[in-house]
Amino acid sequence: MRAPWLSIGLAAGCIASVVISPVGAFFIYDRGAVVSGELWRILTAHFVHYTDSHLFNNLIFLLPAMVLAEMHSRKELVRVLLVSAAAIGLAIFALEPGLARYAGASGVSLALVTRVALRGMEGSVRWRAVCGTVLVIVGLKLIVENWFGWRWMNWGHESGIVTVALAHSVGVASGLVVWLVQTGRSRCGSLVARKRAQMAQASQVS
Amino acid sequence: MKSQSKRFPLFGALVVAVLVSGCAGMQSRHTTTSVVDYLYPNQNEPVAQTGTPVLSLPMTVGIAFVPDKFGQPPAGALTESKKTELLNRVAEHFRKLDYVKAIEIIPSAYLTPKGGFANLDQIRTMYGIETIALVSYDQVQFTDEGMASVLYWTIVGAYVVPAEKNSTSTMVDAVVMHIPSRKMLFRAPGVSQIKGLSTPVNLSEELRVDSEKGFNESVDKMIANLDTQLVAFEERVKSSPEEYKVVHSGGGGSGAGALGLPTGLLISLLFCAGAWWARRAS
Repeated sequence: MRAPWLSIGLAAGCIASVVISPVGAFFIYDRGAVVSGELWRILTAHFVHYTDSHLFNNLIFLLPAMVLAEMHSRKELVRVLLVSAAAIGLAIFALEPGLARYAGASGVSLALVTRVALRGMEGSVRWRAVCGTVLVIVGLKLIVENWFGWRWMNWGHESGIVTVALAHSVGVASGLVVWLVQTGRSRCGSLVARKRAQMAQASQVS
Repeated sequence: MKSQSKRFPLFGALVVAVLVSGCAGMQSRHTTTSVVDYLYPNQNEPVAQTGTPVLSLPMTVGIAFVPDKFGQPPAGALTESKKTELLNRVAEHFRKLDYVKAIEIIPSAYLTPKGGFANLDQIRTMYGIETIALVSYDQVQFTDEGMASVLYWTIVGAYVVPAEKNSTSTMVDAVVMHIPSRKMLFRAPGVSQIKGLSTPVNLSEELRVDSEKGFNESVDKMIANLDTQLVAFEERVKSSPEEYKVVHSGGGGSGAGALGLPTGLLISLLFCAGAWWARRAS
């Protein structure tokens, strides 16, 4: 079993963004700075947190999700993180013009959880049951957030900071898209391999 | 009789020396403005009840010098251009804050002496501000004469000997008020002490230079203190949400990707326990 160094490194980065405030300020999503060319903030904002409690709330969820994904494939972890971070960042930029700042890992965490749970649906019966339950919980969360406007705000009374439900929806959608693309690719791959094998068999017979 | 007439020139010279050297004497000049005089001019009126300040972020903040008590600035008071210059320095420092949309410098002419909150309400409507930093000042200048002032007796000495000892004490104080709730959010002072020497001839010029220097130094110290007070105020807003309400208006809110602790814990536990359960079966 490989050690999940990337997950540990990213978690350490998240902690650094809270402990060393200039680090957080350099990586946070700041609309004005993004417009003036600091494009990295679209990707890095997801690993920056406002406060200790904000970090704790997300890290308790992000770390196990990253470890589970990395233990299966480090490439998969990187792919999901990159796709979801870019998708969420761009969605916030395009659809939330009133948002001057954004930080937090919940969106990418949900993308990872969705991806891990969807892959888990191809596993053993017990693991399928677990992953199915996780997907139901994630789905319910999106419904109550988007339809009923419910937000969980237990990470402190920050000055006017609001939870962005859009990040959660786009995160889940990114996890789903990555899974669909990978599944589609592997199915296409196996289909092509089967066709090739059939053609090879046919040529041998002839 | 002869001896008396001999003594007379000596006595006369002494009197002249005392008069010449003491003609300046000990002088002092005091200029002051007061936020309390401006906001609460009528002591018989009860102080308005304060509500909970609702801070709408990002905010437009006004900044102004409170007017002189009687409307007529005394000699040595700050000129309007100097006031604008000092306020510009303060505004420049705080314009970069995330939650400050704009800082409006309000000319003294817009603030009426003893105007109180009624005047602030007018300014609030005029400039569209809810928070204002009211700057007041107190400056005292003393001039004493040193031992060398005896040389003024030579007339030339009055032009070349800097025996006038000037001392300028300045305090500038900024009070940040939330106008709708009539509540003071925080305050920050800045003090300075300038000492200098001058000849009697250029005394008034030197006092004016010291006065400006005193205001500049005090404002610099006030800016540093405002920084400290602002950090303390941010902490207070976070720790006492019942005392200060913060509302984000459209223009530049802060958003967070935050998953609820119960959801996060539930999914994490499910994954961990599920992984162990599935592995046990295999």
